[in-house]
Amino acid sequence: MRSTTHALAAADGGPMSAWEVLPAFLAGLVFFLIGLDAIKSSLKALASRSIRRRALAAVASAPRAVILGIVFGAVGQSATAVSFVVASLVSARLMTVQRALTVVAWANPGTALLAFLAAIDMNLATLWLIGTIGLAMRQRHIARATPLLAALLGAMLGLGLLLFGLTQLKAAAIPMQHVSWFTSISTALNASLLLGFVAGALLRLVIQSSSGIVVILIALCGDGFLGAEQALMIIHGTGFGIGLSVIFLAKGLRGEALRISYWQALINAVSGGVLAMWLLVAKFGAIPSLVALFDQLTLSVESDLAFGFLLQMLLCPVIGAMLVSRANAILTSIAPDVAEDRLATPHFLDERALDEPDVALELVTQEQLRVLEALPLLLDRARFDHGTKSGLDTTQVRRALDSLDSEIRGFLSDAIARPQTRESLATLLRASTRQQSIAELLSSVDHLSKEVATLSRDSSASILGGALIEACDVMLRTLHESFQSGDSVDVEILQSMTADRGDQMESIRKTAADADFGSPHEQATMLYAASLFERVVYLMHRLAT
Amino acid sequence: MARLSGTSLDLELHFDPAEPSDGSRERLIRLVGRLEQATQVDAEKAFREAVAAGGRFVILDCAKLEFISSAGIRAFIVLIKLLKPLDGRAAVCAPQPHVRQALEFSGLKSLLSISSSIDEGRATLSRSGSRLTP
Repeated sequence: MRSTTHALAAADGGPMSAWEVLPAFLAGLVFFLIGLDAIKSSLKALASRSIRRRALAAVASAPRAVILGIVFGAVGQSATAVSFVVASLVSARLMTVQRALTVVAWANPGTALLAFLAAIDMNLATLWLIGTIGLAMRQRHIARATPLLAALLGAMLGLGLLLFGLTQLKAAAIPMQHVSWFTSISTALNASLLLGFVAGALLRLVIQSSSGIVVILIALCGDGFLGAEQALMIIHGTGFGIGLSVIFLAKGLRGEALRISYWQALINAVSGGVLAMWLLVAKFGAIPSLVALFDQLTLSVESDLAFGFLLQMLLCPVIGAMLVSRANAILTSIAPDVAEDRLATPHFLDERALDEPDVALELVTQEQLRVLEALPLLLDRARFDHGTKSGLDTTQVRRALDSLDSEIRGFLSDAIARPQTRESLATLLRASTRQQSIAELLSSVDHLSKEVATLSRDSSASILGGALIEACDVMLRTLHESFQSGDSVDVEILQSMTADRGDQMESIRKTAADADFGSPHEQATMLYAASLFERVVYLMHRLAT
Repeated sequence: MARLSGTSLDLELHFDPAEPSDGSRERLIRLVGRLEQATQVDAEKAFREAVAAGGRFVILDCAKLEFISSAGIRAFIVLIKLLKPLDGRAAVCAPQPHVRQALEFSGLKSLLSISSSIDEGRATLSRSGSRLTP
């Protein structure tokens, strides 16, 4: 397998300067990263409910989970993107954490496919891919046919851009050996294996794809810039780099998603570390080196690297298999469950109930109760009474409730789509309308809380806003209580509490519009908060009737 | 009027559970301090005792109630629920402006009588058709 990519040449046919090579290298890198992002986005789109249901069948057994992991890794070219999809499957209770760890572990060998593609000339195929898929996506009726088709087309175009970027990178890398500072780097890396390991870890932080780094190295190695052992050490360093990436980039992740990321970091760091140790020990002649073994197979330098990377990636699931029995407990202690995650996870929805409308409705009602019970948490950021605060992150609570809302709606859509009696359909449609109102209430309550929280403490506006928040809290809790008990007295009280507030709202608006009330910002905020409060009351009244 | 046992430092609840000498079914509870999460249970306990002691019309003297949170308002809703089956009613008397505002924003205006004095509260309960005596 030999690359036939030709080196870039200066207009006069002579060697190119750094200022001519660097833009070509950067442009290639950008195409590569844009392609990678497009693939990741498309994979995220695959996390939709209907696709996930199919995934449930796809991972019914361990061997299937292995195949799914390899395919996901090969298509997505990023085990991190795979871990995102898998985390959503776990949070929707469509996959166990144990099975998710298997999928992620086997996604790593899948990513090695790119290294082999880089060792052959993909230029013509890449251009065909970008041209045909790009034109197809311009046809609206094709791109919008189904979300699945749109996601697949997006992923294929991303793959095309990624491969195009690789071609550019390879072409730009070859003349780089003539640039003086690049030659200095090459000399330093060739002098120290440990430096190569560190460089690999740092490169992985910058270029969020180990397979992408391997491809660049293949181009550099093929032209004699680096020795095979040095390049392999950089590749092994990327294993540690994934760990560093998790530390830097996992701040937004929590609970199960964080655990899966830590798992990905752990198995990659161990597998990179083991192979790096092997290379170092082999340097002293104690054991044969990987390069010597590959030489016996008379492979090219490019293929040495591709196989070296494949070996490292294959070691990931092997290490994973050795650790998996204890991994869950260890990972749970490092990244414990958080209340917000538990909130996002449906506790009652069960796919098996979809064919039983009565049961499905009961399960939906229980989940809706959970949403209603959690709504007052959104008011925490604007509360006066600190004793009432839950201590949870309101932004995370909002995200969790949005996620739960999406699960409930998806479940209801699936239940409604099933064949059933007219009465059952009518009941499910009512539940769907109620869910719509709950979602609107969720959004309005969150906005109200955000608006009031912007008011400076102890101002007239803040006192008035605080009163609205406390009132909203009372009504939300009464709504939950009446929804839960179904008691006619509770419903009657709620209806009275949420009756028309036109006069009251007018009075608030007049107060806020008074010149002595506060700054123009406070006046405007209060007027908006009053409108939101009115909307909240209206939505609760609608839910009460 | 005795101070109820178990009340917290933040809220004093003054209520005499003994039946008034005139045999009326009115009970007066005076709330002093802050009615919030920490004191909600004390307030609910006092309300339950008042109703259990035969109270059907509860006058809540809120002149010295400095603050009421949503948790405190929930205690008032408990009282409303206790009185509902008895065809009774409660009157919140002489609340400070922000307490009155909190109750009105919560939509309790139609469920409670909110008056500027105890006498006015009594009068409102009488006018609403409720009999203060059995």
